[in-house]
Parts: sequence; structure tokens; C-alpha cells
Amino acid sequence: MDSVIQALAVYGFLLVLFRLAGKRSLAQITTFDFVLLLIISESIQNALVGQDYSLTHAALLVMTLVGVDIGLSLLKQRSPRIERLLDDVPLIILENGKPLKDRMNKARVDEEDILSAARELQGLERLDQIKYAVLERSGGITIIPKQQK
Amino acid sequence: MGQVKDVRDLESEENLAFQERQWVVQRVAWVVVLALLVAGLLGLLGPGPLSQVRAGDTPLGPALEFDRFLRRDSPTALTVRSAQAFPGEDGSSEHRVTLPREYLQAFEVRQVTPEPDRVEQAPEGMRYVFKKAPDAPPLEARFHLEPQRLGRVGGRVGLGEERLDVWQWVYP
Repeated sequence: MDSVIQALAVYGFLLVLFRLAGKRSLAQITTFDFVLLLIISESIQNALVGQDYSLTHAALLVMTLVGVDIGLSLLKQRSPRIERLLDDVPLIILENGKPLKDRMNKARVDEEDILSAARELQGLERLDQIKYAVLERSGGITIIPKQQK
Repeated sequence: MGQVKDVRDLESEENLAFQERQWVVQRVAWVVVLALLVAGLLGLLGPGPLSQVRAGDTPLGPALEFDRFLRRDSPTALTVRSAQAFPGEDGSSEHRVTLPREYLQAFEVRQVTPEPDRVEQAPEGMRYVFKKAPDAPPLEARFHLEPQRLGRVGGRVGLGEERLDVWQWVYP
């Protein structure tokens, strides 16, 4: 019983914490973000496993985590509201070469982040070559370039 | 921060009203997380400066020192100080510490230092008896414990004739 409750508690805690941290937190932007994710997983693993190294405990933990994930995906499919709540929504942060500063500030994104995504994804050089930049649910930035004349 | 303006051109699931609400909730949550961190640093979520408690009024009388806030399965210690000794069966004098039954149900006693000379059943729980050599300093014994139960745990710890109340809070 403890295994299932522990896994549920950890799943819920991480889901809430990462949603509250915002899209841009730990979106694997830098190597350090990646290292931080590893440390977080290690800390949580110790709390989950505790002193019970049995196969049954591990299996129950994994089944609970996967089960909750499946359950939530079914709920998300049925209700766009729950989907928004759990997965966040995308946000346009640049339109026709003009950065939408108020949105960017609140979402903690700067022009350099957009330019970096534009270079990486589309090989663009300047902001005015971008039609839209969207901060996606995952925390990544996608770029829609302006049509070449 | 002002209200963000809406852009309706690109086909996306953008929802500004939701996004605005979310930003507010997130900022409130950051403050809550900060408060929890401060509580953790101060020792309100486990061992720390505000967690250390002493039971027993006088500096010379029997006293207990322990952490008020604990975490399950994390080792902790209950320190017992007592100058009060009683005549033992064989004419020597001894210190007696009694841990109540409800306390022993909530904690696993891992080790006691110094080791007691004997442990015996008492009406309230288990009595740990430490022999006192003549001219020996007052007893200072440490019970190394591991919390097993969650929530409020405690009981009346017996130090000779004295009874001292202990209550602790165990977090998951």
C-alpha cells in the first residue's frame, strides 16, 4: 500500500512543483539545467525507494507512475480544460519581427533566447526575419520565419 | 506588470486569460515555496535551530533534549541528563530512564550510549538502568532513535521519580 501512496504523492508533488515553476524552468536550456534534472531525479529516487529494495516495491512504483500518466492522458483527451491545467498553453512571444515585451517578461524569455532558437531551428540572423516566435508548452521556442520575397 | 495584449493570427491553442491566471498562481506559489524553504532552514520541517527543545526546568535537575520536528526513517537522538541516582538491588546506585510504551511504538531504538546495564519491563514501558559508579558525573545518555510513525508522537519519559512530557512531530 505504501508503495502506491508514495508514488502517487511523488507524482503529484513533482507535477504541481514543475507547473508552478513555469514553462522556462528546467527546459534543458543549458548543461546546468540538465545536471539539475539529474540531481532532482536522484533525490526523489531515494525518497521513493527508501529502505525497500524489493522487486515488488519497484514494480508497484513504476506501475503507479505509468498508470497515473495513462489515466491523466485519458482525462486530458476528454477535457481541454484539464489539458490546459496539466500541460500549460503555448504563448506567442514575437509577432512580425516585434518582440511582445510584456509577455516575454512574464514568461522570463529574452530576445537572445528567441534569436538562439531562430539560429538553431531556421538559420535566421535577425528578429525581423521572424514572423512568429512561440513559447511552447514544453518550454522550448519554435520559430515561424517570414516568407522570402 | 500590465495586462498583456492579445494576438489572434497564428493558429495555436494560446489562451491568454488562462495564461494570465497561471502567472498569478505561479508568483503566489513562488512565495509559498520561499516560505517553506525558510521554514526548512529554521528547522520547522525537520532538525534545525527552532526544532531543538529541552524538557525539564532546572539546569541541575533531570532534563531531556530532543528535536521537535523529525522525518520518518531519519535518525534522531533523545538526550537524557540526570544527576538523580537510586539505590540498586546490590547496594550500588543507578540511574533509571523509562520510555513509555506509546513512545516505543512510534520509534525504533537503534542504540543507546552509554549502553545500559540492563533493560527491564516496567508498567509504563521499558526501563533502562545505568549503573552509577561512586564520584561519577551525572548521567548523560543518548537514545539513537528512528521515527516509524507519522504525525504527533510522544509520551511521558520517566527519569527516576520525575516524569517529563515529550511530544514530537514526524513528517513523511
